Amino acid sequence: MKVQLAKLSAWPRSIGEWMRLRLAAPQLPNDDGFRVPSSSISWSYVFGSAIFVVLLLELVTGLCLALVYSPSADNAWQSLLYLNYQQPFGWYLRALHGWGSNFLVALIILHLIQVFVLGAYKYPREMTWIGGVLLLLLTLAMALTGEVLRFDQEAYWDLAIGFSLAGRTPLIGAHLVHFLMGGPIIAGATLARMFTLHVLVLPAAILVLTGLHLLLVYRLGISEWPMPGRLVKRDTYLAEYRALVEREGEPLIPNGLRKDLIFAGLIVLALMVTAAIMGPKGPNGAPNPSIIQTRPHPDFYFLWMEALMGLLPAWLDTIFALIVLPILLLGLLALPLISPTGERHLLRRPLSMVVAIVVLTVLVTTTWLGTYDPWSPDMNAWSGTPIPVAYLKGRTPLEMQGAILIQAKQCRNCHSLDGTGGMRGPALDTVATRLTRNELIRQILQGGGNMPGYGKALRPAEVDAIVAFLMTMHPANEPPARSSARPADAGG
Amino acid sequence: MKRRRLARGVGVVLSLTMLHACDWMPGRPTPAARPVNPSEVTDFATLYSQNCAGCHGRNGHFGGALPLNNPAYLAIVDDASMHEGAANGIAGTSMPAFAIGSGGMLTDQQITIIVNGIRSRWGSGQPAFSGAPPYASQTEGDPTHGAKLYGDYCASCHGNNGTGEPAGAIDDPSFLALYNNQALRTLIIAGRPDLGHPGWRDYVGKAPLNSAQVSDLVAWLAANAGREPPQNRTRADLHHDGRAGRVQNRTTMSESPETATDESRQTAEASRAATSNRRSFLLRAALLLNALVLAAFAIPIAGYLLAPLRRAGFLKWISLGPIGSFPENQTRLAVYTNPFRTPWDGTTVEIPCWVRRLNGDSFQVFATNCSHLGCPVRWFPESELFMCPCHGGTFHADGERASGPPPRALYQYPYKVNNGELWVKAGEMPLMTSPKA
Repeated sequence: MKVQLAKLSAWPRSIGEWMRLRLAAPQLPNDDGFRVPSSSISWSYVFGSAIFVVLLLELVTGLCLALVYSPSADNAWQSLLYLNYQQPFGWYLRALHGWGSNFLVALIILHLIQVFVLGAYKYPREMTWIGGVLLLLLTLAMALTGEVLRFDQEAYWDLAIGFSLAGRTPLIGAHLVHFLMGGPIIAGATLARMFTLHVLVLPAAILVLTGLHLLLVYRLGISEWPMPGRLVKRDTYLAEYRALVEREGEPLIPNGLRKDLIFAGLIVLALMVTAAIMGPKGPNGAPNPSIIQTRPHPDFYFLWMEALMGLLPAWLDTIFALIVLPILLLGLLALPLISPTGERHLLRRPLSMVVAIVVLTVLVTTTWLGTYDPWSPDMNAWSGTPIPVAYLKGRTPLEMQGAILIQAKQCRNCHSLDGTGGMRGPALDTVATRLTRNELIRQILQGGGNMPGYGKALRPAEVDAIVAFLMTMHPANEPPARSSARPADAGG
Repeated sequence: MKRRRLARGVGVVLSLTMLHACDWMPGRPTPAARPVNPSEVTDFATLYSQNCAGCHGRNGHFGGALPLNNPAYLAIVDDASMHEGAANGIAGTSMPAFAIGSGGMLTDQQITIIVNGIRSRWGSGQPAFSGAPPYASQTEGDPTHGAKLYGDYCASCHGNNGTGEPAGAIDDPSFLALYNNQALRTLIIAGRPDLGHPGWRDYVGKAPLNSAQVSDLVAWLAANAGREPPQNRTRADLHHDGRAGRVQNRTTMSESPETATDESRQTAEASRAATSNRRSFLLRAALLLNALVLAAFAIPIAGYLLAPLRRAGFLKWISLGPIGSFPENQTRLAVYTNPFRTPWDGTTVEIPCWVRRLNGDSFQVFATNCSHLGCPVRWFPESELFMCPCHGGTFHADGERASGPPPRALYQYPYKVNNGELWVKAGEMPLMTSPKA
């Protein structure tokens, strides 16, 4: 596409011609420009351009927000409230920016899955894939730093969790954390760092990488739809591809552009509607660590991490976060180096298929679990979620005291009755059918599993009352459990 | 033309509508959704549903504890007693203390709002109960008389000698160990209309109980209390320097085309060599100069970026106040301002810690960061457990692990007592690789 400067007239007939000479700009691709195989003009290929459009949208909305937002730890929260309640359309721009980031991450993941499934990461497009994975990591970093800029209680504690995890790195953990925090605690320096990353460093890196990514797509062509049996071989692929484009090539613009535009337009419309209906996220409570009544929650793209941290046994936490996760990421990056040639069709790549299904299942399941995090106790259930009325009727005075104590001793924070209360431990509605009276007393006093022992905190009268109440927790038609060591006609 | 004008008009109307529509979009945050600090919540319904409904029922009745939605109860109790009970708990019952000054989470103003709200919401109908016996006992009860009264009034439901059917035993020592005399008195007078327990004048075919009779009944019950069920357990004490600068590959000038004669070639070669030597020397000198300058430039940049690492730890002795503000055998929240701060840090420097006073000058001061992943743990005096909201980790009162994913006990600050003041050595967020205790 070398510019034929000599051919351009010194006396231009239009502004376009005038600009073309002075910008040394090539002609825009026209009908004979960028040709791709006709099987590439497919609805499966629209995600990339949608990502670009949403990225532009994020840049624009982010710029608008940066005009009002104050990145100073003592003012950030107030400026967010100002954006929500006083700045004209401030709430809507916050909603667009926040939901836009969710859409962006979702689209990137879809794009990754599509490229993986179609085997388009193979020779000669290895660097396109590697650049793409780096873009995914940069986008996730943008999401993380962006969440911190919504500087409220949740952001504060999510940072604390992240730094605590990073602090487990052997030898350099504490220094690493102090470097990231900009000091000994999460304070103004931390917010300033996150702001710099989110507004200056990361967007620049993303724009440069995106440009390179698009350039590579242009230079190497858009991959054709895979066929079973059509292997990628280093000596023959490029020639085969060029021949395919010669034979059945179509200009990307306007043929592919049509589908890209429709999808991108629909996505933007969906984003605008979502933002208008769901509104901006937060800010929640003020970023004051002395407010103890709080329950932090990451944004949706990190719920899988929260689920794994909550469900894995303690000794696996560090190993997973600092060893397994980096290895998986490295595997993702190095994928095209592991299998650069061979079959592209998914049905002929059983290992890829299995890996994809397993990873997706784990991610979807853990994210879904993270939306209602059953491993977190409900810290207000003891004082805010009453015993279901049906469990109070017909109870003796001692059993009533037991019901009161189940609230007062915070049992409800972890245990549910009739579907209400915490989910950390098992529901107690039918506990008497599973544990005898002695087993109940032992479990309460000594604990076990995820339950702490209450022995030091309960008087004998209190244990008596609680167990009396729990012994009534069985369906009317089912007798309570009895000890298998005693004869059938004796009590449990 | 007409169609174009019409289209333009429609476009203008649509745009104006959409601009105004943004006002009533469902996503727009409402003033009610503004985040409020927990200590600034003033709505009775919110305060009641979060703090009281658990035991007293969603609408003030049908809970485990005595109903507040009971005009008979509200007719006999005064606001001061309700406030005192909510703020400092009621000893001898399961009612916990909710005031911040007594280890709870509510301000005095919030407790007043709750008391006033209870009265205004459920207190209508109080006049009908104006003849009730007074809240507090005024005579010394007589247990013998009480036993006879029990047979007359209570035995039909609670069985003879208080031992059973159909409404269940009240002679049970465990039950009586969990109820104090005032609570018994209140129950007898006000009853539990939600669950069918009669009040002082609701006994069919019997005269209403008077104040002395209620005192007698309570005295008889109290005489049966004090016998804890036999167990051999005692109550325990109820925590680059980087140097930039790369030396690039040296380049040499390319040779120019040869000239005709040997002599001129020799002279030309000599002069070319001289030029080339000077040029390459200049290039090398320029590169060296830039390398030195870059290296010098990198030093302040590196120093600036690595500033958070230069200090040998961020620890200082910080005062938490007089030890008198920490009652013995209790764990209370204290807040200090982190001394390593900048003026624009805002509320992020208000760092809390849990102070457990054993007795005298013996303390344990815990960081609120859970040892699992740093979420703030919350202390519950009723169950004597620290509970973490993130992944369900719990710790005992002395900080040792009780259950869940935490890999170690709570982090403790070194402390000292100086001139009646409690000091802790703190200043940085506790981490697994740099714990302070």
